[in-house]
Amino acid sequence: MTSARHLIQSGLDLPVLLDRIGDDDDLIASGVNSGEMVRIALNCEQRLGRVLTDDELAGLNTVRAVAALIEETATGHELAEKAVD
Amino acid sequence: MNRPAAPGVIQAGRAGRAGLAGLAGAIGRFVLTPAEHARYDTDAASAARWLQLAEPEITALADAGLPHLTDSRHGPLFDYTDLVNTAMFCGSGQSVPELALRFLLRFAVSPAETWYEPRKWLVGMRLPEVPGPERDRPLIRVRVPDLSADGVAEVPEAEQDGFIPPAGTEPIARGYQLVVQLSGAPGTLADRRVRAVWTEVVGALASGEVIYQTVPESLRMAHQQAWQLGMADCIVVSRLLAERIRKLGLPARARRGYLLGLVGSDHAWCEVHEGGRWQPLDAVFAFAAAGGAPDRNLRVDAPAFAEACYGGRFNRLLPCTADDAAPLVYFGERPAPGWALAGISARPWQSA
Repeated sequence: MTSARHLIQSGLDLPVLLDRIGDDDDLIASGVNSGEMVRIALNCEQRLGRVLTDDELAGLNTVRAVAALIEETATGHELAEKAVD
Repeated sequence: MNRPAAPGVIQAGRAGRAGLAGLAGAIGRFVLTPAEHARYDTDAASAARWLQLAEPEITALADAGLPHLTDSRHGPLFDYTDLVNTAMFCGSGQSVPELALRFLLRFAVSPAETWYEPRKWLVGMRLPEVPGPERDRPLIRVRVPDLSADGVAEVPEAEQDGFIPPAGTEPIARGYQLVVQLSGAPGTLADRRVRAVWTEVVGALASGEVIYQTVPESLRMAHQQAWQLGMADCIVVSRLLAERIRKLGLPARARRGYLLGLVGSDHAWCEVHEGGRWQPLDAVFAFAAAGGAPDRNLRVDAPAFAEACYGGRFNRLLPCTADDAAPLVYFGERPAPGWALAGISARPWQSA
């Protein structure tokens, strides 16, 4: 969850806003604006190294959802690296 | 660990690093807001925040020729629409307006069945925060979703979770959250005269004869003037299509509401009554999906979707009760500026 919070925070105009947002709180209902959501999505794409699908974009609405997206892929990537090793 | 990006992934730590040369290069690539429709009230600091561009580069646009007024306290004041277009046309692919549109159109490259299948959406409208002393703040009113429209259904079980749809059809002075089910439907129109009008309008956008860009609200309502000036957005196009089709003696109307996805976005389309039902025509989606504007990273390579825009209804367009594509948010009696729509949110909804 920490990694997801860092990613979201880097997309916010006022990073302290995230301190008031719980893992399951809706980001926009908590004060994140549409421009910031766009940057969060962009940050996710850069982290994953691929474009997000329409469903993945629509599901980016909580800290937990962002974590599930980027951590699931990180786990897969780590496993792949171990397999190569 | 850094990994090379896949095609289509934008490499920038933060959106909007166009540089002055890039920003200034956008001037001349779009039609500037005519002075009689311009509101020179946006300072560089506000624009930098909303558009994610660097403040000094915005300030420098004044010397580069972007129309403005000079305020002794705030520096140059620009028209917000001109700034949005500067961001859209600077070619960085990184400004918030460019990115938002690209993300919102990503559904066009999804399998066709996903355009139509019933989807439940949680839609929220948070009233914008207007800076300045409270006594000077205008009454803010927003239009409400049209729950009687084809393909739109209320979700009664969501009311248990507190998502009560706003009642009535008139604008309300509060935000709201509601859950709706949107069902799309493939379709096409049989009348060849409609196809001729459609082809002409989409063709004008595709050829660049008319530039697809952001248009100020007052000019949207003067859609013929905008079109003659060579500028159009979805609202201008929807009103123009409806007007031209009505002149053929056919029932047609411009609709306006929200395109739902990563965020909610103000969008408009035309509807023609044929075969006992209203059928949508979305010329701007068709333009983007059939080639669009590659120089602005707006190209979506989806010819099947482009054709589906001629009569098909999509499961992420929520119409509001806005006759003839009237504005969705008001400050007092005036249409609100574009940034006021940042409080629209949307996400798929599942019952708890």
